[in-house]
Amino acid sequence: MLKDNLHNIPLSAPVNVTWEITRRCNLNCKHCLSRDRMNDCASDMTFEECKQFVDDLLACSVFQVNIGGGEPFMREDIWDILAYCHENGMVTCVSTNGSLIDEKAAKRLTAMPLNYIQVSLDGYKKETNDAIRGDGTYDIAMGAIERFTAAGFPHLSINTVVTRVNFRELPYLYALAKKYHAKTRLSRFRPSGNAAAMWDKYHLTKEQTLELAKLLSEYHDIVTGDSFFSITAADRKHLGLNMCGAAKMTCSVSPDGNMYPCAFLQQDDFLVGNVKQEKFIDIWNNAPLLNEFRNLKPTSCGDCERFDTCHGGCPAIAYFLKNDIHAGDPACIVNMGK
Amino acid sequence: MTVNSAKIYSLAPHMRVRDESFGLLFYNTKNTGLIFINSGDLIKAAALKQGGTKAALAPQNPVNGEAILEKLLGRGILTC
Repeated sequence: MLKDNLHNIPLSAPVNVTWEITRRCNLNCKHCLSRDRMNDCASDMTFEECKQFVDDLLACSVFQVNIGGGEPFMREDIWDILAYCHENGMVTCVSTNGSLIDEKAAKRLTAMPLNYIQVSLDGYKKETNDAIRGDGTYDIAMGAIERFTAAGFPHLSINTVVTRVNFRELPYLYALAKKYHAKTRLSRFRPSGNAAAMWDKYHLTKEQTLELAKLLSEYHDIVTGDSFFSITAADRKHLGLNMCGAAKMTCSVSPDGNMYPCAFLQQDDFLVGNVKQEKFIDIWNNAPLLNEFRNLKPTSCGDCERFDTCHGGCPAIAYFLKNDIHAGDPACIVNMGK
Repeated sequence: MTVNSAKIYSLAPHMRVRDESFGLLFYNTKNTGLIFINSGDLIKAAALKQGGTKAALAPQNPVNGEAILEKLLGRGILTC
């Protein structure tokens, strides 16, 4: 038996799929990856199309769907979609802004076998969060967290997109999550969607990136699905992450069924197919662009001694800042020093 | 090591499994962790999902199959 390097093993299907289930959202966060496309709600997949899509994922043994949006609970049939997933053995995770989580919804979700629910909170201080996510959103998110806790929901996580403006509050956010027996989940800030205009103001400095690594090393129960660069090889192993998983372990499907290598690259340049028109697994196996992602070796990383620990980082950030997925992640601590 | 040949191995309730070119890919639903097992064609995911003896799960090579099954058992991936 052996555990091989993931990047050398083409998988038969993704491990998980990020499914943006609706374009509808009742917030307008400054760093939203998809807010700039939230004007086409009519194209959301119907319930029948959603069921067919879930069937297609199950047929190729995708283990998990990460349901987001938009705000997933803006869909009236989200309950039926979740129930359909669970009845058929699909593991589900849901990301929400918490605005539609009343007491009844919290109890209903607690009764479901969700793997986790992620509530977004982008500051320990109300003014920090609300400056990013909108007035009143701190109280909205905290209300949802309180209700999930009161209902006894067992797998809650509080997700924070790490920016220059909330960076100093991360230890306090961690303590807050502990108080509610929730996980802390940190995500990288990427200049996609609304966030493109906020890059200069929000992206971490090199010093902050290094400091963040210390935090992640110190608090091993912080969860992240992201390739923060200064993380040591040992800590990356702990986090289960040493590479971008786009097209290798994951991909993204938008509300209208369009499929992309990842949720941050929902651009025409990266459209690889539509799951309403083709079988999901056929797109996964045959799309040339997905194969290109599976073999990325950024030009700036050719002789970098750290390559085996990060594999070039995030192609989405390279694309948005350098218009080239082969350019190497500009937010890498090595590239930031150049 | 002496192992009862009639021992019935089953996938632990919190685990999922599928076939891959290298062998088996396990997914732990509790922590979303992945476990890669380089077992080639020795054991198929469909058989593991059903459960069975080493002879049923690894009919081509029960001896090598047993070694893998016992390691999976030890890691909590299978139950017995």
